[in-house]
Amino acid sequence: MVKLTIDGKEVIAREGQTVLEAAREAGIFIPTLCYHHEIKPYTACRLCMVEVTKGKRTRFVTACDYPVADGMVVRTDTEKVKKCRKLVLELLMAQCPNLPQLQELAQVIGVEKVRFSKRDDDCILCGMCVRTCAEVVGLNAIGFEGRGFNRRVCTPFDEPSDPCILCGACSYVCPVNVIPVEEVDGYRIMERWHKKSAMVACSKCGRYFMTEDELRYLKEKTGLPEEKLRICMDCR
Amino acid sequence: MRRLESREDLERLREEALSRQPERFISLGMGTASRAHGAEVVYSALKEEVAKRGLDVPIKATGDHGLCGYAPVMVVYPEGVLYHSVKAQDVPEVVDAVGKGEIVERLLYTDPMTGKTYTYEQDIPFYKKQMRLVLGPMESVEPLSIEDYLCCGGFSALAKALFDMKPEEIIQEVITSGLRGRGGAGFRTGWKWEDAATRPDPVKYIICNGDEGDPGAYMDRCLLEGLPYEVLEGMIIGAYAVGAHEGFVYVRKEYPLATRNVQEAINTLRELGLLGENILGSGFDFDIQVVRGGGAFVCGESSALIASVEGRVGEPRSKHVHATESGLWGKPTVLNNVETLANVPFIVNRGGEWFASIGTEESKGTKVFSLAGDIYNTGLVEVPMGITLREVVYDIGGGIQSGKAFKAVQTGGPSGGCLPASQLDLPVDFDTLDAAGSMMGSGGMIVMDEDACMVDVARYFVKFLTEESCGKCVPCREGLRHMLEILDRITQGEGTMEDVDLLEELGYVIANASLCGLGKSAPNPVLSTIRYFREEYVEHVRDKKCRAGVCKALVHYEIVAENCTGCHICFKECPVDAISGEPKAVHVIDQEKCIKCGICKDVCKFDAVKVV
Repeated sequence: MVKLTIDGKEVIAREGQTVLEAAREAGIFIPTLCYHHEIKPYTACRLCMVEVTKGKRTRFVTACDYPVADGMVVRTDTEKVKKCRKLVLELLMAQCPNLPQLQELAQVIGVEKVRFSKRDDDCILCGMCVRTCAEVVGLNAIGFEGRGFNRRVCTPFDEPSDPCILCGACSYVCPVNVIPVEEVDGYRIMERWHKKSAMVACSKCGRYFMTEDELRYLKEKTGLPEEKLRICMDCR
Repeated sequence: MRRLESREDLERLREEALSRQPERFISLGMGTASRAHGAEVVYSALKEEVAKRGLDVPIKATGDHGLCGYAPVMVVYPEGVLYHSVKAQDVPEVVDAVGKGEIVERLLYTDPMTGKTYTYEQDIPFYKKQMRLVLGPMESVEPLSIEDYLCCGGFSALAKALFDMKPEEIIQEVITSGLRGRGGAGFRTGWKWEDAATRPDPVKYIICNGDEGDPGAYMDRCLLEGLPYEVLEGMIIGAYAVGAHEGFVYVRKEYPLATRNVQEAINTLRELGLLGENILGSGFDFDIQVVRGGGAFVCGESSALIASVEGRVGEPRSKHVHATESGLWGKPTVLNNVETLANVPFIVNRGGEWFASIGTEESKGTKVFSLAGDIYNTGLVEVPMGITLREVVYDIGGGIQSGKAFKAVQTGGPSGGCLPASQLDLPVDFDTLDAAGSMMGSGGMIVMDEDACMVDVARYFVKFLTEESCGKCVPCREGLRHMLEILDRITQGEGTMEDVDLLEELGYVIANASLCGLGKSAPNPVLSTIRYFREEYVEHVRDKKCRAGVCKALVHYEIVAENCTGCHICFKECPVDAISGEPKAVHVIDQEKCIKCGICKDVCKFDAVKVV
């Protein structure tokens, strides 16, 4: 057990937890856009930065990967935290002006207007999709290309990615919901990754529930007989 | 080459080398800077002329001597007669003079400020104020000659470390020395080593960071090219101290000569048994591989560099866990800069206390700078910490060219700050430069005269950093982009006073919230120029004026009627036919057509074109 204070409130956390996990369990709000508890912290969005004092030293750190320690004093409401949080979100809103998720967050943390020139990206480059594909699915179907503000998420050479099984995990984790998955006439289509795959119908209820690529991958990964895998989650 | 099995073998080889070492020789700087000035042709000519005359004067092709603006530089030893800007056609005369013990006056160095001519290297002010420690052996060592390096005491520190000291004693010496990382962050080397050494993991790594990427800076290149054994010796000692058995030298792709010399030096050390299993019979095993970086600036950052060595995309990660705990492939890893490692043999040989006697309270030893910009003596200099900027700029650098006024000195590479004349008496050390809004960085030092526009300078560096930002974190990726946009606006005369405030706000957030050192230091050029040269920003915004005449949108060219002789040269040279006028009559520039290229001003011999 680790005892720390967050914004003056005593919090008990578990050894190995991050400041963000401890704060969220204690009901203290820290915004994030690139954090998901199932994947490794990435520390790219910088919205979760807090001031942490350990002994005599105060540091400005990302809560999503900073480990808790006994006697630690965390502040999520200092001027510095607010100033950085607001400007970082303002910068993201200039990059992607049409994302409702950013507008909602802006209301919460008090960004009133965007003072920078806007471009019309839809991807905030949080890397959640790329990392989920690599860490959870175990494939590297998509990745980053370019550097600086030319950075973007894409498939290799912008061609249909061979490893992609159209599982849709990237779409599921996307915090701004810009990776659409369509299902039409027995096909699953992910326009963003230039991929289309025929779907498998459940052998019991007949509903299309996964792609043939997924089936092949699951068979290979799990070693389960195909007839078992052809049954959808509802009918199992 | 025969393998050295013991310390005695090493000393025997040293004695042999010393007995063969010539007293009289010619040292010719042959690093990249010298080659760019034609040193290779001079070298061939020297060889040929010496052979033709049957002189017994060996020629050493060494690393750059430092006075790079005057390359190729050659020094005739033992007297130390220095000739500069030597061309192939000068060589017969020089060799004749060497044969007869005479001096070629016209190739001697003349101080541009005082007009005084110097015969001997050691008397030239450029060298006199320097303290050449790591660069010390440069002129007498052929980069790949193990004999030359042994004659300068090479590998005596390694032998001392392996046979007379325990690893913890070496670390203690380095801690006592106060040596701080020369790559920029200035972290204490001894503490880093101690932290890695105390980790229980049996597998540890040491990496030498030679991914020097600051424009105009080439301290590490010069060391790797000219004294690869010195750097490698420091690295082997470091490996022994922390318990690493495998090391990597990370060199950027743009340094072909450095890469080649380091690789060949490693090969020689393997043959000699100074790398590999059971080094000098001590029982210590260690080997080094060279890794070539692809040239991304951000790969100089430690966590990005480690990712790159692992074969992943060179992007930084959060560093709450230090590399000394979990670095390369998750193992304890020590990452030191080239110059840091080059200091180690000196500390081991002469002791930490000796090293700590040089420099200031918190910054010990010497620092190599690459001095560039509008000064007379551009090149590589090594000075004791605590020397003032004024001494570097004026005494060593020879002052501002063409009698112009000093405006600013930028220290620390593209993300360093610009310091004005009022800060010239600051001592050069890590903490003072930080407090003044600049930084030590890896050792770039660019001097600017009155013709530099400080807003444009800030814009230039921010542009570089915007292009080099990896794009992972928001403040650096998006913040720098907007900083550049705002600076573009101001230099085009379209800025507002709110823009200047916004630059400061962006600067604060980028510096505090960015993920790695690149982002954290990136606002320095902007914040320091606003701090020291605010009036120039105000002039650009409010008066639509650029006092240096650099920002094209804010200036125009005019012909001063009184000075114009009608020589007609501007008429002929103007690329867009914007100048009209008959020969021998006053000329006029058509402002509609003028593209402000400045050629007319450059070609006018009568000072008749002015920038308004």
